[in-house]
Amino acid sequence: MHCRRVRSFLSAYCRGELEGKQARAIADHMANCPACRGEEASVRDLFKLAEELPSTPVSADFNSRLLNRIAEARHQETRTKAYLPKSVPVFTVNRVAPVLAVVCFALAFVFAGGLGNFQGHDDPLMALGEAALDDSYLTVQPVNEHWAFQKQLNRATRIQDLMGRIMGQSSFNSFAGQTDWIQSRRPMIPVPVFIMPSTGSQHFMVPAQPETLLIREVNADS
Amino acid sequence: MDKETEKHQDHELIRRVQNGDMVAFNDITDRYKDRLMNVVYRMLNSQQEAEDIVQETFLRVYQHRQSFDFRHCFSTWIYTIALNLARNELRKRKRFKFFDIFDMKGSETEIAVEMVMPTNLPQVLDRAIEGLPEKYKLAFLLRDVQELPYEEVAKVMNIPLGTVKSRVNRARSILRDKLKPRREESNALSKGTLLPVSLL
Repeated sequence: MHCRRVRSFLSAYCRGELEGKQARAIADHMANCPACRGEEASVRDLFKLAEELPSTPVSADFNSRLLNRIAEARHQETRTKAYLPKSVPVFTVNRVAPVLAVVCFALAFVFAGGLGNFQGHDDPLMALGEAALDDSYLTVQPVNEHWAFQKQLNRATRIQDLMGRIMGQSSFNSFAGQTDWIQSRRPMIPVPVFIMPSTGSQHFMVPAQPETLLIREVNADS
Repeated sequence: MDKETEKHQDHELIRRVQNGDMVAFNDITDRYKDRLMNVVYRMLNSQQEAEDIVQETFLRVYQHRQSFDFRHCFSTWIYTIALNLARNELRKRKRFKFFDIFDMKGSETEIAVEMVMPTNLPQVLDRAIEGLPEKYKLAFLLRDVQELPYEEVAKVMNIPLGTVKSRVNRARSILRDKLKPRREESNALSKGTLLPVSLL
């Protein structure tokens, strides 16, 4: 073995960290090499000095100060735990979904006017709603004047002829004239005559305009 | 006491600490406080800071006592905590240069007087160790000063076994070279021959 290689293993050799063949080879070289024996002595001195290194002990009150620090850390830990919950409430989907569903249903019910069904007519929204269910069926609705007018006219003519034949009265001729007047005027819808029971007078309901009616009293003598 | 016996005793103590036995914790403190102080002080070169680091180490051991893994050595665990804290302190120092006045040992005259006394070899070695690069210093301290097995040093430093052996070998070689002139002076003085003062 060469000196350079031996010296690279010297510290392990001196520590007893080499085994078998390698240790024997180094021992054999040492026996024949004074320079390497000198190096071995310096390595052994180094290890001896390492054992004699001055130690740096801790202070005398080290243990008591350490226990005080541990007690303080435990106190801080228990204080923190007293004010914080053990676990933060977790909002899982299973918990949130039913709540959300109920809230959405309630909102939909409100915005669809569900609550209005249980309210009185003082509610302006309900008043507007009620306006749709009004008494408009009691008023005269505008009709197709041409078809309805002709139909009514034909009916009135038939009634006139029938009554003329029955009564044989000329007074109805004035009615015919009135009928002509009716025809020449604005389109009006003559409706069947009805007789007031108290006065016995006959009445025509003649619309002055398509949207309205004028009740015109026609006496049998006029 | 051999390593296996020491390992079993450590495990028994930490088990008792996990069950709330503060006497066992006191025993562990007495066992390891000086060992940790020796290593941490030589890394930081400050008595006060080294003691703070060692106290912080034991505090963390207590706080995390329930998480100790009994498959490993307790000594490996506690050394790892202490050295990580020491490394953090060194990193902090690199950003902010702190000078501890209590660590400045006297004036230049006193240092010069110290230098002419070559027989104080342990102190010379101490100073030589201080001048080593950190990776070699730590490997040497754990292996040759604390006498931890190579495998444990590898776990504490988190490096391969071969790298540990290489670093330890390199540290020994550097220290041997630095000690050589001191040893020659010491031998010459013992023979009665005066030699000029030489610096490390």
